[in-house]
Amino acid sequence: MPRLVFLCALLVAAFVASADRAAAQTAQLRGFVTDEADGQPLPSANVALRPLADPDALFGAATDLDGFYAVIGLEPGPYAIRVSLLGYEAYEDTLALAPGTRQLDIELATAEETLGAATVQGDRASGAATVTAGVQRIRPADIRNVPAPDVTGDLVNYLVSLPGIVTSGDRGGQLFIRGGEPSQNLVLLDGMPVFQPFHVLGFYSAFPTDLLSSADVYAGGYDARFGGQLSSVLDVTSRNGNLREVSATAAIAPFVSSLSIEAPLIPDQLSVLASGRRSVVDQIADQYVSAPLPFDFSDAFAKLYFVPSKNSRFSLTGLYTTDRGAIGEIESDRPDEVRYTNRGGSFRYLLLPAEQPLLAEILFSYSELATELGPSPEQLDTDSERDRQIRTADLSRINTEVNLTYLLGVGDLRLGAYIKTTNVASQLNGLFQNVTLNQNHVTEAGFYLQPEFTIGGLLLSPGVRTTSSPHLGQSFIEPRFRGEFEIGPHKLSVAAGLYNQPIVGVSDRRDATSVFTAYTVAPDQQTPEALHLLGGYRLQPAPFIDMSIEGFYKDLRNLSVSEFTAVPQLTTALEPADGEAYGMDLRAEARPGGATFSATYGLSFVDYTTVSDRNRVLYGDPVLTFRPGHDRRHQVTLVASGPVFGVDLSARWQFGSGLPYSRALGFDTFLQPTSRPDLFNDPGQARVLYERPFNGILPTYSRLDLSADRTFDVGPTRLTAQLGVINAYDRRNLFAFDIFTLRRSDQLPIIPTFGLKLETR
Amino acid sequence: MAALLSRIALGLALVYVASSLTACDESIPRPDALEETYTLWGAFDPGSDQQFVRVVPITDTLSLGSRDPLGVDVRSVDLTTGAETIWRDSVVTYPGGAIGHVFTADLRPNFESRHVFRVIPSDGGGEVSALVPLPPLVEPILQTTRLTAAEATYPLFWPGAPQLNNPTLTYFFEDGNCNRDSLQVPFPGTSEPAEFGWQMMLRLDEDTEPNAFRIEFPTALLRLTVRGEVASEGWRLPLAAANDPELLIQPEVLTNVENGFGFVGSAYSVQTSWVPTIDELQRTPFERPNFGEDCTSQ
Repeated sequence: MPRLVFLCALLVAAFVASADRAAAQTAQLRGFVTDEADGQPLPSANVALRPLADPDALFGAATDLDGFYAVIGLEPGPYAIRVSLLGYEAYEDTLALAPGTRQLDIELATAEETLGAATVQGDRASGAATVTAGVQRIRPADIRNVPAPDVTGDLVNYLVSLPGIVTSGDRGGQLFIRGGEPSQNLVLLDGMPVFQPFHVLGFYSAFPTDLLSSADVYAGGYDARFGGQLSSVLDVTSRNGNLREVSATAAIAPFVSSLSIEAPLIPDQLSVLASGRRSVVDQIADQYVSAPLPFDFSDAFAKLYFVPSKNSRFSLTGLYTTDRGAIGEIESDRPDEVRYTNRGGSFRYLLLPAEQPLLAEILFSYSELATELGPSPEQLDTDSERDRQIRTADLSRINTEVNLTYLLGVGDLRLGAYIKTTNVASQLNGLFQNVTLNQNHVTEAGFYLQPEFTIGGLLLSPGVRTTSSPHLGQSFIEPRFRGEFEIGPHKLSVAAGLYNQPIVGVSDRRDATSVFTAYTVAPDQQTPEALHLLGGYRLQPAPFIDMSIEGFYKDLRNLSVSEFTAVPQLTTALEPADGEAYGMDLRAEARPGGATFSATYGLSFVDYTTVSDRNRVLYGDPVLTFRPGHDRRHQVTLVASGPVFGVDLSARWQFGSGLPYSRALGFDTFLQPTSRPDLFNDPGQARVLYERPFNGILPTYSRLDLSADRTFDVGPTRLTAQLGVINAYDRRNLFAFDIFTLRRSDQLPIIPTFGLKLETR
Repeated sequence: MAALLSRIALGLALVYVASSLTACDESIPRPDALEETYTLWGAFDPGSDQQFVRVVPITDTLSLGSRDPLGVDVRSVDLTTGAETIWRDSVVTYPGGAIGHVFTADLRPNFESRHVFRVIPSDGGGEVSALVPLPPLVEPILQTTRLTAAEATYPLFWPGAPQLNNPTLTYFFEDGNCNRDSLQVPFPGTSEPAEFGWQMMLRLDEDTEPNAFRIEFPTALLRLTVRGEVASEGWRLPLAAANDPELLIQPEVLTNVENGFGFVGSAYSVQTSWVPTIDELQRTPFERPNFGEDCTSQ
């Protein structure tokens, strides 16, 4: 480890020295590109510079999520600059660059008159088929293409359309990404981890579309900036409040109502954005939906955004979510209820040091998740229920990190350091029989380095992330790699990486309705680890068509799975397992005229393997390989959307092959055979006669959702009305099947929806 | 616009066709029915005039059971004599509400006889049966005690015993005030099959931890009693399952039932006692009897 630190320091010093030298001799242009209307940063804008002396030469950069761009290593002299972004008027000017750094902040105006076919058909940095080595950027416009049961829409409603993402159904808020468990996903909101961001009703998360600037989904192979989780990263960036004028939005739909307001506190410098949502399932949906809907949730979000100077920004973000719902046998007499609450806040400071080709980011965040499983407070008020146990699991984390990006002539040098302390506490009352979970805290610190070299159409980005923890007594060195090669309409990409997860989530995956997850520190030398390998090809045969294919492989070690036992009980013991996940995604998107059509197909194979003497006795072989309950082999999604006579129509059809489950062949009674049984006093133990674990396949899943939106200008406001239908052909999609009682819980039946959204213009 | 509309209409039509095709598979396929229909639990006891076997129907769902007759004819045949015995159903309601069907027969099986226990469904279904061999009559033999400077080891041989289940050891104590007490524990020594029978070894030594006996020392050891169930040969648990209840419960781990699950064995209880000698007690933490008051007159 010390040798690696030394080598990295040497590399950084060499890069910084070369960057400083280059900066002193050449010109660099940098700045922020924002929306003229509200001061929002505009990511993915193209900044192109042509020397007037040599019009064939071209230098350029694209803005990042903060709207920041930098073009360095320029010969001093006069240049023509052009800044363009889909949907905005291009900015064009000439400027003379002298040696040193010049900052030019640019505002783009919305191209109202060209918002038609020609504009929308253009190249896009996001969309269903725009994936590069596992990374997909999602924009609010993408989410709005998908029918939702309310006007605003929600990120999770889009995520479940992606190949490789399997959900537990329309309740429970569990997302399995390319074979990984929900607790193996890292979800970040403005740099703050959100441990359970998905609401108990599957259409909603803590991320309504109106709050989003963008969301990057890393389905694997993510770079060295991210760590601590095995499976995936969902990096969500929220919008800033309007810096120019006050605006507000109110919406209502059968499941949820929302209110948001944004305003400049100091025009062009300080803004606030506050939003709240509350489920109205009881008040509206329950009145006309025949299926039981015991769901209640809410979320509140607030963000302060401050521009103290031309070369710095900071923001404060706060999030609070609550969820409550009965997940399993809702119609049983005593359904257990799961309740969870996220609380968190983050501070982010962005700095551009004068005369340095450097972008610095300082992040500080605190986040916590409190989960409970057990009878509802109302049930506990009754005498007969007081003896029922409530199980709890708490997780909190304080995280501080510094991220630096040195801008070099041939790429960037990204590096950073972090320190985080995670606290876990739980009261499980024997839910996991052989796992002792109690209060614990772990501090981890480390740094990462991920240079990015660009040579023509080739991008190479080797990286490394290190982690040390005095509490764990372990250190991890995780190599990462990312490469892209683009030529014409073709783009090849690969990614690889090693990942460790010292804080693990423990859940009982024998039961599809079990959404309760406890967190604990991985046992010594048994930290779960994963190796990711990804490779993809993307083709853009026309500006309005994207196609991609991507294969992935994940090798998983030191997982924990529920032990198989013939005792029909809700508690379980855990045993170690290894696993692998592999498969491929096919995606295509076309945007003819104002419409968007996308088709995606995901093929996935997930295997877990346990090795034990018990397996030898039960199955004749110490090695048992099985498909876990989230191994959905085939997944197809078709989405069509577009305006027709002023109405925005959208349709989504999803198909998923059946999920594995452990079939019960029958039930009997077991008496201890260690001595003569006491047949008149010992009732024995109920017993399940299983096949091999997860040997059965549940029915396939398919659903058609439709929606139609129409917007009207009403005085100073804009009113959007929506009509829709969920599960349009009333398919009986299974949510859970209780093998003990042979009772099935189905997902939502056909539900007509309507929504209204009122916003200031 | 017309082109766009037609495209959307075509797309929706395709979606409808595809969804119609997939909509037919909503039900959960039932696994093939088990060949096994009943689970049997019981043990023939050659020391008793009545025998009991519980017959558990294998059901599709988890249930507490039913008082309804099982619809089976239950009988056993002594393969040695050819005698057939009809068993009668008795419904048992256990604490907690579970209901069991325990079949009873007036039968005293002979040592070393062999019986077939049969459950014959009256609906013509497959017969469920178990072959039940009975063990021989066994008298345990306390072999010569092995003495070393600091320990006494008692070998106990059970000649002809195919299997010994649930062995226990009972200590009988007497303190300095002539108060008597006893403690029964799972047999703390080795207990394993041997040539021509079953071998147990019990070791007492000076280092035996007094706290293990939950009594105050000094105390005298008056007597030792070993109990066990001499069982039929098939009643032998796989080594891996012996200490793993989660494994032991698995249906395949211990069964002798044809077309069913469970285990019908045979067993009877035997015990033997002995009084340790003064010489042996000197190698243990125990005192000899009457080490305090003279208790012989009491």
